[in-house]
Parts: sequence; structure tokens; C-alpha cells
Amino acid sequence: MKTSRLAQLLLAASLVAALSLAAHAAEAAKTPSKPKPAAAHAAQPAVPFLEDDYPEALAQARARKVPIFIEAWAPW
Amino acid sequence: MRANVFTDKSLARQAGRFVWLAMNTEQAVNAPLRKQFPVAALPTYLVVDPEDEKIALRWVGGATVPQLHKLLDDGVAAVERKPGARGLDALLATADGHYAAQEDSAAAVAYREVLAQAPADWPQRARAVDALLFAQQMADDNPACLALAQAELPRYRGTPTGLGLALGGLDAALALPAEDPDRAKLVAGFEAAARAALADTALKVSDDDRSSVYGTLVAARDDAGDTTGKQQLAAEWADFLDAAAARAQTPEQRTVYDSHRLTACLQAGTPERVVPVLQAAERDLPDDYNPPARLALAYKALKQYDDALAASDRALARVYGPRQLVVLQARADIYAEQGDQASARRTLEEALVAAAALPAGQRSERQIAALKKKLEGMQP
Repeated sequence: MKTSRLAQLLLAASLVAALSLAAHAAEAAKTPSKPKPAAAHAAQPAVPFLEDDYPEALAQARARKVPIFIEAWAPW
Repeated sequence: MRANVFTDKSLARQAGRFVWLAMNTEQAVNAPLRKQFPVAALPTYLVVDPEDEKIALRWVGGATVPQLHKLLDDGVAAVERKPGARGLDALLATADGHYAAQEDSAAAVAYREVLAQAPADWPQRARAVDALLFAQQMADDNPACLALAQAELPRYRGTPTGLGLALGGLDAALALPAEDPDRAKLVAGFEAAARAALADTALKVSDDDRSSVYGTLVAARDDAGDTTGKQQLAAEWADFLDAAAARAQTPEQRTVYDSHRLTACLQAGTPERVVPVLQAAERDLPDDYNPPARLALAYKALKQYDDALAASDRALARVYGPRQLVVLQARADIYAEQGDQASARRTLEEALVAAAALPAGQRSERQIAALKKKLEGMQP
């Protein structure tokens, strides 16, 4: 797990940091992350992800009596 | 992670154990969910018990495939953990509960208690160390980060946890005041540990994590005022990322490295090197705002301001959510560097309007205050 200050600078709530830094420093603060998926090229995940639909995930999890795994991500 | 880890076929055996949800934190539709499950850093992985909608386990940062398998196993165990658990399991449950709720100081106290009682070979020990380090970092407890890294690094050298400790220790040492008599020795020690981890080809960590080691080491050279060393290391970093990108099978996998490739080239003083990379990414992923947003930064470094503004235009046409503020901020910086203060100011005013219009869960009062402060500091 990455726990460096680089990771700290990822703070989703503190775009303040990115705003106050030089733009390239804001870039430095980011873990390489996923680009916005393009259907024509997207690599297929090995598990079936629901996209941005928590109510559906909750309903399915309660029906199947299994936990929900949430990946919180950003396209940058 | 989606492009490089979740595609691993070994994860298929985990498929039926969970309902899998991807939450794009930039999407307005997820703003209520961000409020329900605040996210301190990206990526973050949560295992949620659907019965009470409480977070049973939180993992912050990237993970390798084996780490992800363990995280998933631990997540199921955390949900199934009985309320009457005793001993270390109960202590860990308490610590995980605070950590999941982002009660960082309380989590740190609880994890320290866990580690004080845990046997050296306890399977959950490394995860507790990882979580303790991050909780202490979030709590801004620099002395505790240094103490943890010094105490635990010898035990975890050659493991992903050891890499995190070396980086966490180096960050904490760099954050010490310049007049601290121990600063130089601590920085040197952790810098050596981070370099050793980077050279350890047997260490199983993701390319993302190796890239972050380079980033921190470059910061350390910068801190030392060693411009030549910094640029040499940044060039080595760019070589490493070029090689990682060359192994990618799809454009998505390749562009994962682009933000660090940009940073490495900027730090190496060779922004022109990354321009064709980003141009190719923009061709491959025409709906993605990231390639033109990054191109704008590369062109700005090259002082090609017209190209930078044109790239910024393309990024702004595609960007959404909180990220639009960063793109606007970069655009304001381009104008400012050109000497066009009026346009810089107007662009920051646009950013302020956009920041105020974000929904709860995405809107940040700190961010709004920072934009206002920056505007106040500009010439009228």
C-alpha cells in the first residue's frame, strides 16, 4: 500500500493543495490512475463491476447476502 | 488498478463473494455516496456490510494482485466477524472501525495497541502497520511516522510494507525543520532504504508504487539542492515509465503511466520528451480529458503558450466534476505566465463559480476559500 506523502497529496478533499501548487506539482501528486474508459479499447475486468449505481449494488448484496466491494477512483 | 490489476484472471474466483461497485468520485451522481463514504485519497477500496451499510474494511492506495486477494479475504472476515470477538481480533476490529470512519487519531491509538500485542508472525500484522502509517500521516503526526518507520522497517525490508515504511519515513524526515539536528541523518537513512527497495527486483510491488518511489527520491534530491542528481534520477524515472508503458497491452493500460511520465519529464527538464506520448494518448482516447490537460502543462513548460491554451480548450470541452477546477487553475497559470493577468483572473473567477456549483460531497469549502484567497492576491 502506498502511504507516502505523494499518496497524501492525493487527498480528494484537498484540491486546495493542487490549486496552490504549480501545475506540474499537482501532476506529481497523483498516483497513476485509470483513464476514462473507452469502450472500444477497454480491458475487461475479471470481476463484474457495476458502474456508479450504489442502490443497485446494495439491493444485489442484500439479496445475495454478500458484502459490497467499492472501488473509489477518479479518471485522472 | 482497473486496467492492470482487476483484469487479472485469478480474481475470477473472488467474483461471487462480493457485489462489485466502481465509484467514479468525479461523477455528480456519486456525490451522495462520497458523503456517506468519505474518501481521503485515491484509489480507496471499501468492503461494506450491506446489512448496516457500515465500512468493514478500508484500504487506501494501490495494491498488487496478491495484496488484493488478501484484502478481499480480510474484508469477508471483517464482515463475518462476530460482535463477541475477543483478544487481538477484537482489538483489530476496533482499530479497523476507527480507520474505516477516518477517525485517524483514534485508529492510530488502536493499531498501536494491536501491534503491541500481536505476535511477530501474525498474518494481519503487515496490514495493521500499513494502516497505522497512513492513519498517522492523515493525523499529521510526523514524529509518530518517523518512530513507526524506524521501528518496523527492519522487520519488513523487502516487502511492500517495507517500501511504504521507507517512503513514509523519508517523507516524514523531509518534513522536519531544517534546523533539526537529526534531519540529515534521517533523510539519508530513509533515502538509502528507498533506493535499496527500488533496486530490489524481487520486491513484488506494482509499477505504480515503484514509480512513486522515484517521485519521492526525486523530491529528496530536490530538497538537497542537488539539481544534477534530481534530473538524472528523473530521467531514469522516465525511462522506467517508458518501459512499463511499452509492456501495456491496451491504450488504457499505457495511459495509466502518463501523469507520472509528465512529472518525470518536467523534473528532468525534458518536457518535449512527453509531448508525443500525450499526443498519442489523445488520439487513442479522444473522449478523455486527461491527455489534453497534460499536454497543456507540457506546452506551458516549453513556453508554447498558444499550444498550451489550445490543449486546455480541448480538455475543458471534455472535463467534468471537481477536476474542471484543476484544469481551469492550470489555464490561469498559463495566462499568468504569458503576462495576461486579466485573463488569468477571469479564469480563476470561472473556477470559483464552478467550485461553488459542485454538489455536496464534491464541493469543498477549503477549495473555495483557496480560490478566493488566490484571487485577492492578484492584481485587479
